[in-house]
Amino acid sequence: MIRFDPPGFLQDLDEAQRGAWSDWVSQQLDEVRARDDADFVNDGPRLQFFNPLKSAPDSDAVERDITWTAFPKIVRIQSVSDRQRWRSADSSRDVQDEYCEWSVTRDPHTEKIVRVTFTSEGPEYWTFLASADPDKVVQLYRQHISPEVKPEHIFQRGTYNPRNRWNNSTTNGAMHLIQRNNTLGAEIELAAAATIVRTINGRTLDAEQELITCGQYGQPERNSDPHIGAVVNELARAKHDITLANPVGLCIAGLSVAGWQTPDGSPASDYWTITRGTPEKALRAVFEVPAGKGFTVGDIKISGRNIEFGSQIADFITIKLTGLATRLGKSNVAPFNGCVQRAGGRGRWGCLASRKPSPRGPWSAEGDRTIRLRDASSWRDCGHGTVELPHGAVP
Amino acid sequence: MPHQDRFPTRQYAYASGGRLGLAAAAPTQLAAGSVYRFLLGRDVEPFLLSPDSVKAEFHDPFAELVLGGGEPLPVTARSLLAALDVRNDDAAGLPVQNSFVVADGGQIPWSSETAALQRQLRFVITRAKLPGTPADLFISTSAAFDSPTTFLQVIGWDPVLKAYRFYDRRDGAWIFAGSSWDALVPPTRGKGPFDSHVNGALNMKELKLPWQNWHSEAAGIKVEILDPADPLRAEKLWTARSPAQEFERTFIRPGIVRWMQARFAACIDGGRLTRLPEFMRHLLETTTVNLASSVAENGQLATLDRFKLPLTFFFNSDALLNTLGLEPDIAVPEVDAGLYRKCLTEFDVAVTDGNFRFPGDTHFVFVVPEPAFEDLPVLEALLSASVISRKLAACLLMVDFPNPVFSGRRAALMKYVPASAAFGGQSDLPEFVAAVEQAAAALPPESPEAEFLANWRLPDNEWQPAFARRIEEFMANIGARLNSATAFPDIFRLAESRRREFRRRPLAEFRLTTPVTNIPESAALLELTTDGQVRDKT
Repeated sequence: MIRFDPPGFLQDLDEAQRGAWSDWVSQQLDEVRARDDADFVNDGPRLQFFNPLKSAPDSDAVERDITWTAFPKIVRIQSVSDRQRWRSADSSRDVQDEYCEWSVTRDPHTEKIVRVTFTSEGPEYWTFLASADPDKVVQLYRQHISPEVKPEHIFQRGTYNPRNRWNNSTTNGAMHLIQRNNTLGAEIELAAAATIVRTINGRTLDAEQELITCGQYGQPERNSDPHIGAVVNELARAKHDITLANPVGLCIAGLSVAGWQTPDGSPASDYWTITRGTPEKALRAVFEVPAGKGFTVGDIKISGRNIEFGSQIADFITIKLTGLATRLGKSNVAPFNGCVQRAGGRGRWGCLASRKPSPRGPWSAEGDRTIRLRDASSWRDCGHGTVELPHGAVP
Repeated sequence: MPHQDRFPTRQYAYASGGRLGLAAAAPTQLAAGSVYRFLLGRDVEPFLLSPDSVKAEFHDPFAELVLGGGEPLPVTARSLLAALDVRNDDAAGLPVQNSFVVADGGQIPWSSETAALQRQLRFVITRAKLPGTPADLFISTSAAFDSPTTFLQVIGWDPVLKAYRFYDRRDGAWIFAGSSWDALVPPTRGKGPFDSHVNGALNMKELKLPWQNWHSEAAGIKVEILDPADPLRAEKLWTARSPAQEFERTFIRPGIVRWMQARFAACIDGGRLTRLPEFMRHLLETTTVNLASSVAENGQLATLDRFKLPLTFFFNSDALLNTLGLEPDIAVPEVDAGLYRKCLTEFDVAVTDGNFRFPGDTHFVFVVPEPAFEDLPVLEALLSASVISRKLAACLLMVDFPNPVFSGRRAALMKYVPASAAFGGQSDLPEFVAAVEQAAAALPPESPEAEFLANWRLPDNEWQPAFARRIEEFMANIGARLNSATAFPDIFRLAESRRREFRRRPLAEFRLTTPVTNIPESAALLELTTDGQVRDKT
């Protein structure tokens, strides 16, 4: 392996841009491996996590998909009924926090759903692309969102706005992830931090919630973070070296349509189309019935109920990342005896709220890429730093 | 060393009682490699099925691909899967395989001290034609894939019979133990496979998030539960195990709905729905249950201030809110974690397999029985066919609604259910209402009959807000008690009471499924009132 490919093996970039993207991913992996902030204890370095460009996997390398449900668990456990949770999850991209966001298009006359678009593309790639090739970004928006997209809609004073009018709602388009925790940076940090094997009073931690609480690598109430962390940590406990498989990214693993009923008896899977990425590394998918079939998405039933919300489909979507383990059973990295804590032992703390800023990105002209601090007062107040990318930078 | 789990309940009930079945019949009577029919409760002994009769009468994939395949019959899980694989390219083949893992001790790591713990590790293997489509074949077995004696059970969907067929391998032979239809009526109801597949459907007790005991995205069953030398570590059925959420949404829920809809369609005769009591008992009785729990882990209790409890412990929210559309303004109930921890100490809560004892709650705490998912597709079918109205269904389910399971008051209304009802008709079951009215005249005002009639007499434009208000007031009462040091222990005792009722059923197979307490199994059973009080069952 000589470089990291873009997520989903996308072909948006030229050779130089691909190299720059690879450099950025490589730098991220180096950073999270080395992370050992002075302000914290038991948080690093993460020596069972490695950068495959710096330390090639052995021939025993195996990839492992880690999958989870796209529908946000936090919404699920806070809702008293299906209808309430579907309505909530469809109400804002900010609650779609399982590395999958969607936008719903309805017939203006009947209000029936005609199309639901799902994306798992991290925002970093789009900020990078916007810096490298703004025209390409406009073209992709026009292709996937609306031919009405204009440059000034998505660029403000020459700077790409990820939360632009075509990507900031559940009704007007979803080009890439924007929920604050849905970032590639979060995925990479989580995967690295979870490689730390932890013992407390001689017992090795192995349960999902105790690991994420102790390791502070994500939001305990999501489907994704505790599960990803637990699977990675299981590989670490088996003394493997671990990294993220190429290409680094979050993917749509699939849609299960068992129990779905279409008006004409056709398989509901016929209406699921991957529109970015490869079948194995899908990044974007659309659920839509072609014109001429005589019915729409809203006429399809799931478990006897018409599809009234995009989130009913999200119930059946699986998201994944792919880990890679190598040097199986050969790691001699010692476990950490304790949980992540502030240096000085000022007690238990709730979030990674004060990570050091990361070094400048490979394409950053100003070096202003920072780890933005999380707002601890937000409704999900524990998780990852959110990578904020450069303004107007070019590779 | 491989684990040594024992599964006495998985040899069906053939061995119990000694009056019927194989316990009374010498095992040698079964000819290895043959197929028998033995419907416990109906057949006094197994009788041999000829290959021709299997071929003519059985159309599920197990019969077509394996029993009627003309090859020697497989007697182990591994050889069964191999026999299916041979037919993968056939039109009837089922090449798509998933394996799912469940173990009631699946969160207790192996150590030399716990090596003998009965973790009850089981596998469910599904076979389907295409990825993401319902499975037509389910195989249930232990981790002993090469054993000809460990339990090995098969369920296959028969598209001609429109029901599941249940099979069991015993003594080298295969036994057809009945179809879904046999689950519904005596003398086979509750017997053999139908002690847990009570209404003939697929069964996944812990159906919902967090899928207690299952390998899932909420809690993986990790390799550390296995002996370091256990060969299972390298078995593909283990290493490629799929998560429970996939089993729930792709196989179990659609599989249950398939049977319930087929059953409903088959009972329509001359514009009437026949066998109505068999459908209505899904609303009025607790024929079976699922198990719900909090998503909070026992190991995390010390760090939590509060955690949520399953709403279905308090009322049948799945039916009343999801299916019938009531919209009370309520929140998911939360309990003070400190009060819960005190209860764990006060009631000496532990999980045990009889030999090992682990203080504390199950992995996900507060496991309790909840109304079975399989009741919902029956309710939905009754509604969509206008056999009953939403109002009638709500009026029935609001009788004794603080007790969503094991309610004798709702069950008391079963005796008024007529044998059949108009299909697509008035949808108010006038014979039922008339019978209740007649009976209520001679009953006290607190009778379930009177409670139903009070509900029923609400005007059509008032019953929904009235029921929503009742639920809001009830949940407000509950919310206060969940955070009261003096009141919460009663709620905890109620949960244990419902677990005790669950443990009295054959569905409760394993000791590790529920925690044990210092409350005697014989203590008085409890119920909840609308004001949130817990009292002895009346």
